[in-house]
Amino acid sequence: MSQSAMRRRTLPALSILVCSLLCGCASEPRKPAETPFMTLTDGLERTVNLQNPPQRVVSIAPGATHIMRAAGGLSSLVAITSADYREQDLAGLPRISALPLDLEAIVALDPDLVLASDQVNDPSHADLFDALDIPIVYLGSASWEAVLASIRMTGDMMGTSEQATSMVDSLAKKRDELMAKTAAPGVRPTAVFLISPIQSYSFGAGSYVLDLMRWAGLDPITSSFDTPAPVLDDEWVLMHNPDVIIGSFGEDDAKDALLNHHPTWQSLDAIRNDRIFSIPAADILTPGPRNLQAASQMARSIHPHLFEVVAPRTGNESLTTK
Amino acid sequence: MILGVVPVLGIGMAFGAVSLPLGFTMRTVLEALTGAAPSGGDRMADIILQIRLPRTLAAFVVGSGLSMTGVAMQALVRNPLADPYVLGISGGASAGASLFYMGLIPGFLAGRLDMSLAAFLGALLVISLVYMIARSDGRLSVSRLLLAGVALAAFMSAVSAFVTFASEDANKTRAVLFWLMGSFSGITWSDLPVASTVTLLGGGILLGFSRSLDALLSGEDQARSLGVSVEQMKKTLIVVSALVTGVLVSIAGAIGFVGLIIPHSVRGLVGIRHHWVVPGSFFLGGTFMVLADTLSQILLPGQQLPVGIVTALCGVPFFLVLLRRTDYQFK
Repeated sequence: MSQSAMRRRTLPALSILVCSLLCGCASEPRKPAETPFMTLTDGLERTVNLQNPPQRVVSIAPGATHIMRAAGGLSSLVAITSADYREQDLAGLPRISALPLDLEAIVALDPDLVLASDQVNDPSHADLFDALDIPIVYLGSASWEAVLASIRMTGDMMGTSEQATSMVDSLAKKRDELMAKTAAPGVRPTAVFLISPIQSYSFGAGSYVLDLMRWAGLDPITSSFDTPAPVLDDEWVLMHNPDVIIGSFGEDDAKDALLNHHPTWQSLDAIRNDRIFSIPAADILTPGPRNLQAASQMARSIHPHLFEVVAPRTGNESLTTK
Repeated sequence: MILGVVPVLGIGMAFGAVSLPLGFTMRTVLEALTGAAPSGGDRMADIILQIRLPRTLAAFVVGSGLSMTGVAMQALVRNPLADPYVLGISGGASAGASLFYMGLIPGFLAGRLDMSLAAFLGALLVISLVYMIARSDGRLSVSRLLLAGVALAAFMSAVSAFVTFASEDANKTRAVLFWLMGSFSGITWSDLPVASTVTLLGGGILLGFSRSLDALLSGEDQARSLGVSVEQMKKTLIVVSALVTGVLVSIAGAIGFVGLIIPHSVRGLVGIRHHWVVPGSFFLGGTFMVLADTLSQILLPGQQLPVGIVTALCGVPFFLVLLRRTDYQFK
């Protein structure tokens, strides 16, 4: 047999073999149920069909983990992200990288739902998960209302609607109480929030962090910025002279750190009067239900008199807060 | 060019993140120069004297120094693409700063360092390695210098990228990324003495070598035949450039393009004689950097825009136009 004849016969045979192997390797597509268990619109305005109640959920954003906790769905989580620093009770769960996304690790966990955040995760990952036939829901958390709606929706997905609704009602009530406390006249010092004492990254108009500051009875000086994350110039801060500086400064001495990186700020009222407060980054920098805790901590640090416990005058009266 | 410096320094002082009356600004500076107490408010005087004045002067010094070392590097490797960072200095400084910020420098050393010193030591380490690799039989090979510089710069960039990526502290990651883009934010008076002394000394040495630099552009053999001590000059150029660049990068970060485009722009204006190119680069580089830094503060009012972005966005089109319009020559 000539070489060219052999080639003519071998090539089609090889093609058929490769095609057969490829078809064999491809996973059997999951058969969709007749009627979806639930159809929802997520934070990216995508319509998502869930065929069955989720049993194996992977969270790829710390904010999504917080919302799962608030909605009472923790028992269905099979993995969280390596950035979920404060979830000590979930220490037994595998941690996956969300930035960049460790897709192989997620697929290996065989999840029936992936929870993402519309503020953190890449929207294009939706196509990726669709192709893998793994439902992904982007939980909305651009505003407090969106966070509450996400808790309700997560409760509906996880079959914990009652617990989620109760949590939403409780959070809404606590927020209203906090705002009522700080609405007293004359309690609105000007303030700036700094993500770090090193570079002056802050938040601009429309940011949920400015809302939290307002709930805490503060007047954020950066509300004039249109950009969501301005890097403040030292002289601009000096000129606006905030009464209070808040940030996620960690355990270090915030005043020393600020003056080390911004020596000219020593004349700021906030520095001179030691009005510098640190809030845990996980509570304030991750949009979610824990933000209320951050606002409450801010308010208690800045306006302690509003939260003073009034000593009972008689033995029959119980302790009350103002 | 010299005449243009004073008005440009005035522009640097007049514009910033907040709007201050020009008359008040100038009066405050004059009062400070004459030793009188500022007559304006403390806060506004602080802005002018403690933020804008050192910042403007630092921008001038850094622009001047980087431009002059750009001239030296282009002459040394006889390549118009060379800039102060061609020998890996910025890569070393960035790696030093990144390792320091991320807490990856051994404790006994970290306690004695700050970020600037860590960046300077990183630059020094890289240039020493490049020098050792390029040195053979008492001579420095320009090709080896270039290749070792490019390779070590890539290696150090990978080190910076890895420690930044692997860091769990987002604040420090942000700070490193901002620093890598270059900025005069946070400059204080204490940053100026060393930076300006090193830049002026480096400028003086380069000016003293101007005839030798002219000869070197023709080739090492030609320079030798004209009586230039080529090996000695190459070593001096490397030490001076490394020192100036290392110090400047340590206070302002790795600001790009200035050291590349200013020397070429000056050649386009005054010709190729280093007697003019060195001082021309000093003044034009400083002037350009002050204007770039002023723009970086005006473009996003109240915010810091890394000046490295402005030098590239504004400097490169200006340079290309100049390149097109003039009868440009490198050698």
